[in-house]
Amino acid sequence: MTNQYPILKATKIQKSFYNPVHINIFKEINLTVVRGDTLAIMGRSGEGKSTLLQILGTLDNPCEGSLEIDGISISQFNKSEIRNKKLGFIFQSFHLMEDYTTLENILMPAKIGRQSTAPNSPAYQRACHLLEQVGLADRRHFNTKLLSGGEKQRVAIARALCNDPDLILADEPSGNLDRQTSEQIHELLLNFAHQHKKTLIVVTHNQELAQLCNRRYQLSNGMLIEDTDS
Amino acid sequence: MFELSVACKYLIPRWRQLSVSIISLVSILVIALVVWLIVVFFSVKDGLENSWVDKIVALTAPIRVSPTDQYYHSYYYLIDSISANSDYSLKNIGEKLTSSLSDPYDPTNDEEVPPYWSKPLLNTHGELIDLTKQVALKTTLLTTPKNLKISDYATTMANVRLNLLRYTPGSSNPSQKIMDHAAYIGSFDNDTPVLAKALLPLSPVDFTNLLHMQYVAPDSFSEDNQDGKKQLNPQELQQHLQNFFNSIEIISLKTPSMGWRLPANLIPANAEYDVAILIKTEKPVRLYIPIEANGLPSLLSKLSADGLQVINGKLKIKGHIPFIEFNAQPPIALESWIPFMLEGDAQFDAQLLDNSIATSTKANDLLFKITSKIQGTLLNGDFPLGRLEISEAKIKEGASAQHFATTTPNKSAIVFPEHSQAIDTILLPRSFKDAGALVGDQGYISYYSPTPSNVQEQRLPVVVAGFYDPGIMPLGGKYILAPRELISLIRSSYEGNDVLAGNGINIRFDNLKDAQKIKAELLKALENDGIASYWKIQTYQEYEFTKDLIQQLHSEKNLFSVISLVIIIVACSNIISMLIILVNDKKLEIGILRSMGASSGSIAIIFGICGMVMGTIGSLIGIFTAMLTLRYINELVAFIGQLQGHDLFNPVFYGNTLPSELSVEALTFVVITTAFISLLAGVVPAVKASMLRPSAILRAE
Repeated sequence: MTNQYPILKATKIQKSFYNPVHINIFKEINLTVVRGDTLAIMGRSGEGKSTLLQILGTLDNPCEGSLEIDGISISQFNKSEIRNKKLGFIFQSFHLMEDYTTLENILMPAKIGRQSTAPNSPAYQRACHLLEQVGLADRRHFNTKLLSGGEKQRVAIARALCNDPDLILADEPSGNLDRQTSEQIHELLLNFAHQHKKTLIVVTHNQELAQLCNRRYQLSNGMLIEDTDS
Repeated sequence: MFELSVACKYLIPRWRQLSVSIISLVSILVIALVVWLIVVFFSVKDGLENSWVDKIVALTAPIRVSPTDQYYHSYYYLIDSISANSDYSLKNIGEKLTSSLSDPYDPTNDEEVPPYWSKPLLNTHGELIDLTKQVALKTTLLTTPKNLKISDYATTMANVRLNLLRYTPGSSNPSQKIMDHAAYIGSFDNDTPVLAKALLPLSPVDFTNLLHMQYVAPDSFSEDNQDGKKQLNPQELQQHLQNFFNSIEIISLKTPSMGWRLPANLIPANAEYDVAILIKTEKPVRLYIPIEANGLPSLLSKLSADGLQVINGKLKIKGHIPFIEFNAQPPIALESWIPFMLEGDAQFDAQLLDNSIATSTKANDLLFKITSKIQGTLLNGDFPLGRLEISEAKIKEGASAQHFATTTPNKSAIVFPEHSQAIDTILLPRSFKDAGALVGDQGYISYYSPTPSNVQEQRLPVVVAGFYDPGIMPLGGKYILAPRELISLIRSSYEGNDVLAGNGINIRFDNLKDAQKIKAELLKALENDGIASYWKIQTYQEYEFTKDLIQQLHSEKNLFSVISLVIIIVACSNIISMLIILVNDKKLEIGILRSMGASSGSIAIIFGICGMVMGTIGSLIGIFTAMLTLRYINELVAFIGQLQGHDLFNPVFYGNTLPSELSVEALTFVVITTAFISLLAGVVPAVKASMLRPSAILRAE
């Protein structure tokens, strides 16, 4: 069933920092993302790509403007629930929880969402299935410390999909990986988005990854401009 | 619950988080130590307090009802003094309780009631209300008390003078000392288990004294300068000894500590002993026989140290003739006058020869069949008590207490000697025993009785039947327990002029905590009857002599509770620093969890749980070690005492053993306070953790 609302609608987003002088990094950003879209945000370092992604992912607050995810207006009170149920994050430095196994990491969003994670529970079965899809079925009881960078990012992708969110936000997903592994991760990420009909917003410097996305945006001088060149 | 699972992960010590692990461990240990200290301290303190209060209550009662001035001025009290039915004498509470007539007054025969007396208090039928019986009746109707017992009590003051006759070995006449004390004399209820437990058991010295005192006539000392020389006639003496040996069995005797001359007739033929030989002018003049052959070297060195010239040798009996060998010379026959001294504290199994009772005129005559092993050789024969002392004796089962107080086998009541016409029996507090008195000592109680012309001293002969431990009751060291008859007699000399107000009704029941409730219930019942103004009802916390002590115990308890609370707060404050380090350590994980949808409340709960779990683990360890310590507390105290070379606790105050029961009150206090304070300690770091902004953390990483 197709939802009538856009999955994400950002209106007149502004963000300033005051330390030590006032810097207005976004002037007025408007962005509407429809369901199933894949979108790349590019720009030079320091333009505020990651900050924008965090604002879109409710991890940071805009100074002005409003944000709607799946038709729900974001407030201080529903952020955690939205993050848990509607969003999946993938970070450049993977951000897996050490001291936990691969499977435990993938199941963590389900645990936070108070779902049962007992063996044979739906969440558990889904996690196992995701592990198979990212090709790490044999590593499920490995401590994440023992995995390689590429493997870690694959676990992070599986974790982002654990609660079956509508929107996946990826911040330089291949920034810490070599070229060959990066390509594998890009393929995996895009395939997942297409297969599971997920919306993907990715912040990247990587042209190849950007090319794989339906839409590309440039963040420059506090403005988000759609790149229609290629 | 995911918060719990994350908190548990954080609490498992890891090498990577060494500093956090060490601080956690130290925090837990400090809490455990504090909990241990508080639980042990409060358990021992509560146990001691309970035993002190129990003893006070055993000597008095949980509730006492005593007459007020209005009672002593009432028609009901005064009427006995002008009634022929009461022999014109006033009655005490005990007598009023048992008297068959509530109003003994007979208007036809007795003199007229003085007009200034208060009017008689009449019931609806126009009969005189029996004030004492009414109190007893109302008490029995109370609903709260369990195992209710009502009895009258009486206390008085008098002078106690004991003549301590002591039979020192070797001298034919006993030495005599006088012990003179002004003391309170109180009645007691012998079916009080706590009092039965406070009765001190008879020691061997008490048994020896009791035996000697059988030869002394009762009432030997009430006239001055008699020295106990009032003689018993042979029949009386026989009766005394028979009674004594019917109730007491002597099991073993021992030699006096300064040594004992071994009679030659006890030594079996062909015996051989290693001996120390005392030489004077190159001739043996005395032999010392150690109990064990291996004791000879130390005996030799001891005697040499005393400046005696001794050498070691061998005593050999051939036939019945003793020979000695020493200095590798051939055996020399000993002259018969040379004494064999057996060194001190040798034990003999002893059995009384019954026929010696008939001929005995003093304790030293009594013949015993004695058996012992000296240097492995059996030694036996019949021998008089002489200078030997009783080392072990026991009270025969089912024996009636003739001379001393004892307890029933289950220690629930005191078995007191039957009242005898000749002499009264009393129980003395432990302080008298410490001052040298023994069971069996005789003496008298003196008091002054006014006569129309002068004041005359009266003397009542008494014998010490036992000693009891009064605990820490104020004046306990001067509180003598005696039968009611004796106290009534003394009190009758100043009836109506009762400065001590030491007469009334004891109300006993099982649960001390009910005392206030029962008092209120009884007071209401007496008020309904209109007789409340004749009586003063006091609980054990309100007696003049216990009030201050019990208040002191309460304020100490409050003070110690505050101190414990402060210590627990200090111990739990370690948790704060540990958790703050943990929050810093886990910043990134907090950010990751937030990005996955964990709310700030969940993050706060995780660290709150960490604090509480640490507090709980610490207190569990503390409680477990406290239980272990309490189980072995007396062994522990004895061990530390041994290391220090003196008793850690004064037995007069703390009893012979420390209480080892876990105080449930202390346990509840510690468990609740520790959990609560550690939760509070967790709040600060938890709030700090929940305030962290995920964007800031993740950007920084």
